[in-house]
Amino acid sequence: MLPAVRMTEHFGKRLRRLRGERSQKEVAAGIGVPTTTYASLEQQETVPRGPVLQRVCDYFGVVPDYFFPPVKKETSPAREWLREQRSRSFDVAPTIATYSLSQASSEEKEKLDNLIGTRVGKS
Amino acid sequence: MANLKPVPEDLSPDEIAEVLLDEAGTLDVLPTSESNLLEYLGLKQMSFDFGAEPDFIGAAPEISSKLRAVLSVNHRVVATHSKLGAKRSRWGVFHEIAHFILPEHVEKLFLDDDKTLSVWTHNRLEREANSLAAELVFQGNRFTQESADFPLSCQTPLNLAPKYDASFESAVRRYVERHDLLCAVIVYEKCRALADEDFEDEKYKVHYSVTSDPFRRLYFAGVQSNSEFSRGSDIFQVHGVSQIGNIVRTELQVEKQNGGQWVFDSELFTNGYKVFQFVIGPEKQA
Repeated sequence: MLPAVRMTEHFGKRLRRLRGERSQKEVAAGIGVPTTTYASLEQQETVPRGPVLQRVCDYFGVVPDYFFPPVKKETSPAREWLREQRSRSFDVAPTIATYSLSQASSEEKEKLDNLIGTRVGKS
Repeated sequence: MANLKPVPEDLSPDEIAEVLLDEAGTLDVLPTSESNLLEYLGLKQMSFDFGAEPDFIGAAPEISSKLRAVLSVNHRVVATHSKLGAKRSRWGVFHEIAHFILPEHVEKLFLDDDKTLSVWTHNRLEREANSLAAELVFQGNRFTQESADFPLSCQTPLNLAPKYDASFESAVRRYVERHDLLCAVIVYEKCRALADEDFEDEKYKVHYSVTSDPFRRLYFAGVQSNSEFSRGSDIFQVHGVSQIGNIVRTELQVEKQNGGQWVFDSELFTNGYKVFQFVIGPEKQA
């Protein structure tokens, strides 16, 4: 769960940006809330929920996620995978990936591996 | 006794990228440090002029001029072409790092020769590597979140690109692909002029286009030209777009399939090689 301060800050900034040149009064009327309530949202004092949030989203044509920063996912499996990959030994046959404008043939990859191997041997 | 275990299927590229950035100590540190990532993974970076290596160019003349970057898994080396510009070289490094860390890639590349790996699989691996490279350059959702706090304009990725050490092209693509609002970008390439052509009015063709999800749902996923080439004056209808750094505002008309047309506000910008038309929704009312 994100800290409440960050949520209200994020929400307020996004709301202010969406309002653009329109007045707070005009947008508040469009959403159907008092201008003071609308102002408190932009001033990062509170975050709407339920039907009010939905009316805000409908008015600006965005989804609720637009207003909320992403929650960090549980990354343990990814961390474990990365650490394994990092310490993995690759004493295998030449394995080459190329980033090029056309696909390299297996012969070309073998030549590349030799070229790199020669340079590695020299360094 | 079995010595096999399943490749984790549920790892998404954005999770892997975030963990790599974190483990390598460059998460939330901009721009993403290539050397930190390489060092963490135990990879070395080398630079080659593939087109001038006598042994290689003689043996593989076709590919030597087309190579941008190479990953040698067994030597743990990422090699980039020494003649690439700094940003392309940087992208090449992230692309090869992606091959190194994405599940299944190393195994599939081990098998990769013309006979065993289909072009479809090859293309999928390349797409996945590019996608993860973008995650590393733009630090997952960070660029998207940051750019959403600024006005909907091509000025926003233009301003943010240097902070992420990204090209304008990659920044505007990312900006549009991930935006929650209605926007698109159409990228035009200048066509080579023929000897008897009018050099004053350059010719262009649509190279590709990218749309945000909301834009795609409401209007279209991409555009194509009616003709092979179009004159700059017909497409842009304004002068001054050819000056680098100059954003020119104009309208964009797109034909609807069943008659009529959409009209959008748009911004034109060039990086000297391509022209970008940033399209701002919603459509203008007649």
